[in-house]
Amino acid sequence: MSRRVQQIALGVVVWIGLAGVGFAELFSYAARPGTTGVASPTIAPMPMPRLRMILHPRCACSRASLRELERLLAHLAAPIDARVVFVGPDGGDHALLDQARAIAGLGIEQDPSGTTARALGAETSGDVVFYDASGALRFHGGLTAVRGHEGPSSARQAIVDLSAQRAPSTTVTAAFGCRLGGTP
Amino acid sequence: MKIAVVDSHTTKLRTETLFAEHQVTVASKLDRLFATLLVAEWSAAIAVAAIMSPRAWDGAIGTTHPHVWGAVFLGAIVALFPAYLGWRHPGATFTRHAIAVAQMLMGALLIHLTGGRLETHFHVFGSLAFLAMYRDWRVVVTGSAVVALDHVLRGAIWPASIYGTISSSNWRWIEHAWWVVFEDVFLISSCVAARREMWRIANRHARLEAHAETERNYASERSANQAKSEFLANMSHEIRTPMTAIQGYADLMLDRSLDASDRLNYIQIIRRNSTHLLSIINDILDISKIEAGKMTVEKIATSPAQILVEVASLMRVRATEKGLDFDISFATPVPATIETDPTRLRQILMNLTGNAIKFTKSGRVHVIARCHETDGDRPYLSFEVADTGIGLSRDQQSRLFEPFAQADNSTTRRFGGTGLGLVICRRLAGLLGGEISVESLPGRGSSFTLTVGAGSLRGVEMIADLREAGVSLVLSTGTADVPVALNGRILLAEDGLDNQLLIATHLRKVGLRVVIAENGRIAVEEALAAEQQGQPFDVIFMDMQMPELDGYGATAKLRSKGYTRPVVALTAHAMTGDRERCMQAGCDDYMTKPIDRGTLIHMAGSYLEKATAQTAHVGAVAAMPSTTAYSLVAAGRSRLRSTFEADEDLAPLVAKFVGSLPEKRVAIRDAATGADLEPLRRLAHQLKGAAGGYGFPTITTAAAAVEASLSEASPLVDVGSKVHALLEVISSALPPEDQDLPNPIRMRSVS
Repeated sequence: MSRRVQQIALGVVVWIGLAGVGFAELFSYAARPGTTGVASPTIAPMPMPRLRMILHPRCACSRASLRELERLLAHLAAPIDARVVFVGPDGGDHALLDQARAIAGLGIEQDPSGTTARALGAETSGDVVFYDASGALRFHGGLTAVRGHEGPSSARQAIVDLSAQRAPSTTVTAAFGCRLGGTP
Repeated sequence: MKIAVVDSHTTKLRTETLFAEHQVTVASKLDRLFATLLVAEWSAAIAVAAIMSPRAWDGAIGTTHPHVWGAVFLGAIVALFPAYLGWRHPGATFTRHAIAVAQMLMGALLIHLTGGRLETHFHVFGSLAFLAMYRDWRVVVTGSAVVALDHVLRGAIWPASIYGTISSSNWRWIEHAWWVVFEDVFLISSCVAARREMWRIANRHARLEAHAETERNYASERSANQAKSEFLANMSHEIRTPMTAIQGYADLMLDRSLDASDRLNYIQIIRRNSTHLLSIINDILDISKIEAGKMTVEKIATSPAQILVEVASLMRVRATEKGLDFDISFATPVPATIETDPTRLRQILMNLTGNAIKFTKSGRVHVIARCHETDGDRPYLSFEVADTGIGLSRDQQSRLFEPFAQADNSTTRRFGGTGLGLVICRRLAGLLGGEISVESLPGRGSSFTLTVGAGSLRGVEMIADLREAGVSLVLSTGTADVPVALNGRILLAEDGLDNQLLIATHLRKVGLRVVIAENGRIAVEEALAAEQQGQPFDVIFMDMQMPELDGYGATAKLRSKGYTRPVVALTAHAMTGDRERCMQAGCDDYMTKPIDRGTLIHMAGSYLEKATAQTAHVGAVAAMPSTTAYSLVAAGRSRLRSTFEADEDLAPLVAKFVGSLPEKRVAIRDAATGADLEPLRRLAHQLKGAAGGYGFPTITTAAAAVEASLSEASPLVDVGSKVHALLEVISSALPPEDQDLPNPIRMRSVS
């Protein structure tokens, strides 16, 4: 094997190796879940089940979460009280607000001080809590399987099952998004 | 009707070359295009990341989003290496495969940065279509393989990132693979079709080229044939001119009423023309040898000054006859000896000075020697031959060294010559490690410069001029200066009685005492005995081909016994390499048979202290040409006569030799009909060496032909005809009563 071919082969190996490490790092970040707090196990009973999605108003992952929420609402067997809670004083990204407003049957709630979020045990943008009509916590977690990526997930299927009075396959999933903390 | 066209092997090879070249051209263009595209895609990836996910948030604190860094760094890794290959190694196979891999990785990156948007997946299909422009289906396969590998790996480890769901299933894999395969089928088909089309174009081009090449060859062949025809016409003229003179004057000499003065005049004319004819034949043989790559040169210690003096000694006569000044000078000190071939160096200088004299009407011819890079690794000598002759135009200069071409045809008509001289000289100069260049102005003169490699000059004395060189400065007017009286003892080792007699007589006539040894063994014994007795031989003339112990063995034996006195080889072989073989055996010098008296005496004199300092032009020798002329007179049948017949001193020897010819004739005839042909070869060899010395070059030639035919193992019928011819020639030298023609020789077949 000539010296030139050896150099080219070495270059290709290093190149593929570096690209592999880069992709692995990128995918690793996408699959890194946020922290999940402890939600109140019960709240006051309501005529219909309640769903709350807590979002960081500037988090890039929020778009995917809202889309997944839109798909979820379209698949529910019975009506529920669904609201998105934007945490922070400035109301968030206009595009995100517009996206939320466009979802039928979805209420929008602002949480400037983060009180609601804390009450619901949400620490990561995209966190969802689902209480049945009796006020019992039935599901807590994120709707997306990874950061910012849409697509079917066990969380979506669990809530659909709950609204249809079926036993869900899971009641807890990880949330993928920005940390809420002292959101702006 | 379909006509099948079968390509020649050359056309197929050319088609392959053109196809490969076209493919490389297309690939190179695409490589550069993709290199640019990859950099653009890298920029697009950064833009996408910056727009879609500019910052990551930790509560109220925003930092640059990892996607932006990913786009910057991972995008650079993916794009820059293949982009570099595209610019530095365009057209290389590995470049396009690296680009295919990069395109697919860039697709994966873009898909990831856009959160798996379906639209971004079109990048994969678009890239495959772009890659198909390479018209190399393997590249499409490489790209598809990366997509497949990406799906398999990510599908197994993290299916959501590739299928959008955490739990993938086989049908998803099949569906994704199907779309890629679906596209690949069309892309690969188009690649194969495009390659076929490229091959057809290359083949058509190759055929057109082959056709054009055939046309060119035909034209070139016509041109070469025309040049050869002109050359042959020229040769024919050149050969016929002296031949006509030789035949014409030979006819005139058949007249028995001619007086001695006219006969001598005619002989000199015949000799001059035959010499000219010989030079033409030598030129033709030289160029043939050179063209066939068979020309070899020696590298022995040679005195450039001596060569220049020898050239001058011959050329000054011609220059003087035309009223030209002729000078030789050293522009720089010149080494006393250089490593070169003296014969070829002399030949080139003779040709250049001969031309200078030929083409100069008035003025001078000046030969200037210089030494260059004396202290360098490759020192060389230059010899500039400058004249004030007719000069050459630039066009004439450009054609000067082409075979068969003189300056123009009118030059040939005006000045004669074959037009081969300078071609031979340039080739010989190349063999001597140099070249020949020319500078000239029409009407002002020309300057030809010969350079030759000098070999190592370490320890070689540098001389400032010819006088310092110590070479003979007697620039003669054409006749050799031969000592007339010498003193010394000579041992002649020679087995042939005729040569014993002739050589001994020549040597004794100038006062030398000669002892004859019949073979090498006796020669060794005589030489060593004389040395022990305090009466050593001053020179040994050693025939190299003798029975019992030949000259090579005898000389080697003498040298092994510490014998240091000069030994001069006598040989009938004049082939390249013979001299070297003799020198390797321990000889000091070398002479070829037939022996020329002047050369023999000169050679003896050069190794002896002369008895007197007296030297003189041997006009008497010149009165009768030494070896080349002979006469046929009508005496019933033509009789071959010795060229020395009129020489009072040699006439008795010639008569004795002629008297021995009937005996030789019988011996040759007997040897030719015997079973063993070795005696015949020996007799022919002896006669070849001796007859010329007695003034019978025709017998020498005929004997040489017999020896050659035996050496070459020619068919017996050919040997027989040559023996018959030799016997005829021998008979023609005898008195009419002894000239009975021999019957045709019937050789015995020897198995």
